[in-house]
Amino acid sequence: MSNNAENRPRFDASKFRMQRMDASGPAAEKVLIRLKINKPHKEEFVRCHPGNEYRMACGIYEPIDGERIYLIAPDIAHLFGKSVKHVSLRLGINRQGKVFLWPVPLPPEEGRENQYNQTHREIAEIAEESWIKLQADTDGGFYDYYLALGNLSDPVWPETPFDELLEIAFGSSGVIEDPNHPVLRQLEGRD
Amino acid sequence: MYVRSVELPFRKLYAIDFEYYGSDGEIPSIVCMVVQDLRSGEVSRHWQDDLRKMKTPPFETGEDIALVCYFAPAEVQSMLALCWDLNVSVIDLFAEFRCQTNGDPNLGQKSLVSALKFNRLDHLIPKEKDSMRDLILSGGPWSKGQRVAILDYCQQDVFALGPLLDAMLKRAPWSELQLNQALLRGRYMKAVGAMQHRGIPIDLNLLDTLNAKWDAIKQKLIARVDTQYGVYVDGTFKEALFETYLAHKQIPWPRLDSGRLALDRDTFSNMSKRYPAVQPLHELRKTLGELKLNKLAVGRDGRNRTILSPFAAKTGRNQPSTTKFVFGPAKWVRGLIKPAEGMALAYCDWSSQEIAIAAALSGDELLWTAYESGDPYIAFAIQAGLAPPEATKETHKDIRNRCKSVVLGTNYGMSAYGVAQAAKIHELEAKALLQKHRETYRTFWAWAENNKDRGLLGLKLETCFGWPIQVTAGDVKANTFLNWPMQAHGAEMMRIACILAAERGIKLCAPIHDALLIEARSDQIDSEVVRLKECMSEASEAVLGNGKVCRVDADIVRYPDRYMDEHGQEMWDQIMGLLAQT
Repeated sequence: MSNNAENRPRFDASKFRMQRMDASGPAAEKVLIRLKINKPHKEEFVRCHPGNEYRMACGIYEPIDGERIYLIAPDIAHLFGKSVKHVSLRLGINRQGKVFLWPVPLPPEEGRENQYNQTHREIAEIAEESWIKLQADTDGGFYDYYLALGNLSDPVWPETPFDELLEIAFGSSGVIEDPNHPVLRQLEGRD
Repeated sequence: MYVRSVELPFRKLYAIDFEYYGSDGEIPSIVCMVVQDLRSGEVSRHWQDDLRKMKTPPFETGEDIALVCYFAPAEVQSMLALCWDLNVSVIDLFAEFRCQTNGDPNLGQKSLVSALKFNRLDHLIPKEKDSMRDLILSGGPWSKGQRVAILDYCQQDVFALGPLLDAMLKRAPWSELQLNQALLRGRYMKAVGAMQHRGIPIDLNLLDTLNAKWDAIKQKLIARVDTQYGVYVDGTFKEALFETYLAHKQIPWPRLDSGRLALDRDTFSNMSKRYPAVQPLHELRKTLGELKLNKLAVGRDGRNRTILSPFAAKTGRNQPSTTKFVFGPAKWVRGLIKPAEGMALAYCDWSSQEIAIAAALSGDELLWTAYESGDPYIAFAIQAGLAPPEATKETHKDIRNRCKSVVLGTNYGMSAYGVAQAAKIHELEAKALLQKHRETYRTFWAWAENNKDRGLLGLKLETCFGWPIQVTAGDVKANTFLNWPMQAHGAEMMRIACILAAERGIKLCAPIHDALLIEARSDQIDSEVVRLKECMSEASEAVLGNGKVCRVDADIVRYPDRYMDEHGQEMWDQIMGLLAQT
């Protein structure tokens, strides 16, 4: 090695440096192909998207087999009678970043409201700001919740528009628009 | 773009190869050298007698002269053995072949023969390679005919270098930037040659004594440790006895598919963390298994010299032999490193190098703030809300330790189970800590996941100075790509530091992962450490960019003290105690 190197200039990295290896942007992005429709599990902490663009008032129907939930077109909702649930479908997310559609009961148009539904709705609003765990008090007949005490960061919500999320969750076979839909026929005892 | 070797911007371009022999640890004895001027085609052949008389090389030197070699450290070592000036540029086709193929699962060997085959130059592969090598390694004396044969053999390699460089350029022409990067790798190969020439000072007397008495020491060591276990018979580990011990202690030991106990090092390592009672047995097995003192490559002058295997790992890091290199075996063996009389050694390492790289390259300012704080583990605890802002290493030791396992493990894609094992905490807690890390350092994670995706998609990942990896076939672990950028940039940092240190006349002995070992006279070691720290800071700034610098720590050992790794001290003391009784 050369010994008269004391006065060598500093290392000029620009002669050797290449473009950042991630300069071409992300190599992949997560694509949602399934979205569950359910209220939060009693053991999981969740948040509820606060934006109006991520909620929709609608009717849903869950057959007794519980295999899937159907979205009911407003003009035939009355045909389902008391079997239709009037809900605000909202976007939820758990601590692991898994998103889901959260059916939050709507207030009744008339009469007294079930305490489960009322507290459920109140807690969903709290979940707009805080991480909560929804739990049923079966003795009291209402929901209560646990508030996460840790300094937890806010969730990262997907940028997918709500319409697309609904499409992913229900697909074409999960929407009932026809009064002769097999599900409705079965419910009415026609099949 | 450079498409042919003759276009490269050098006044002269020589292909060169030496033949030499010598025992492990010794400075090589030169047999012959062949040089070819790649532009004129002119060849000169020199036998050892001529070479030894030469004060300067029989070719022009200067930075505008380039030597083309295959694995240049060997040529550099040979030139240093002849006391020649090294003021030349180097294009090392071994390093370039590694760049060309790193990540290719179908490529086993990294030899000149493999490079020629890969580049469809099979007709240039030397014949009778093994027999000629044996003839050279015999050390002579050689008949006149044998001398000619050896020179011819050497010349075959030299004649292959020009076409190989041309084939590489034809396949992927070099831009100015790529030429600069190739020359940078060549500068590192010169530094490696110099380190291999200098070696590491070893306490030769003690090594000889240990070697002579090693069998007796081993027996005593077994007897001492085995009193708690009763699993050795006549110096041999007995699985059946170990099974009895485990049953007695009610330790549920992992088993192989065959039903037998898993006795590999990783299982012992993991289980000894969960069941500390097993730890001494694990240490003993490691020492007995790894320690082959007689394989350490130490020359008669008491220097540990071995091939440092630059660019051998996928990350571009060195991969010296774990038995020949003194930093390879169990850590207590490092106690054999001892400066000569009047001399001193300094071990300088970058502090938390991988975290600094992860923070700087990902652009995660929060992670960089954590690194800059000097204690990234407690900083993570504070940033993640796991400890109050005023928390310190002393006030929050427990949470710091847990966070340390997470911060260190995440670079390797460690699972919650792994973190739980390392931090001795419940898996659920480990899972929560990992999630905290992801939430706190979102920018880092987005960058790391993107690297992983790119790697798994078969796209090329490259360091800032052009060391690549591309895996387009075969099995590959996702975590390889998670950790690769940190390791590969760490290797770049180390290479630049070695280049700067060597070119500035610092006496480098060896690179050790994220550290450098240097030697100097005792009265000069402090100022040499200052100079080395400058080199290492400059190297870190070059890699991290934007004025970011990685801290450097130094540990100085002056004669008559010896170097010691803190993790090896206990075993060293034990072995020295047994040696005294033997």
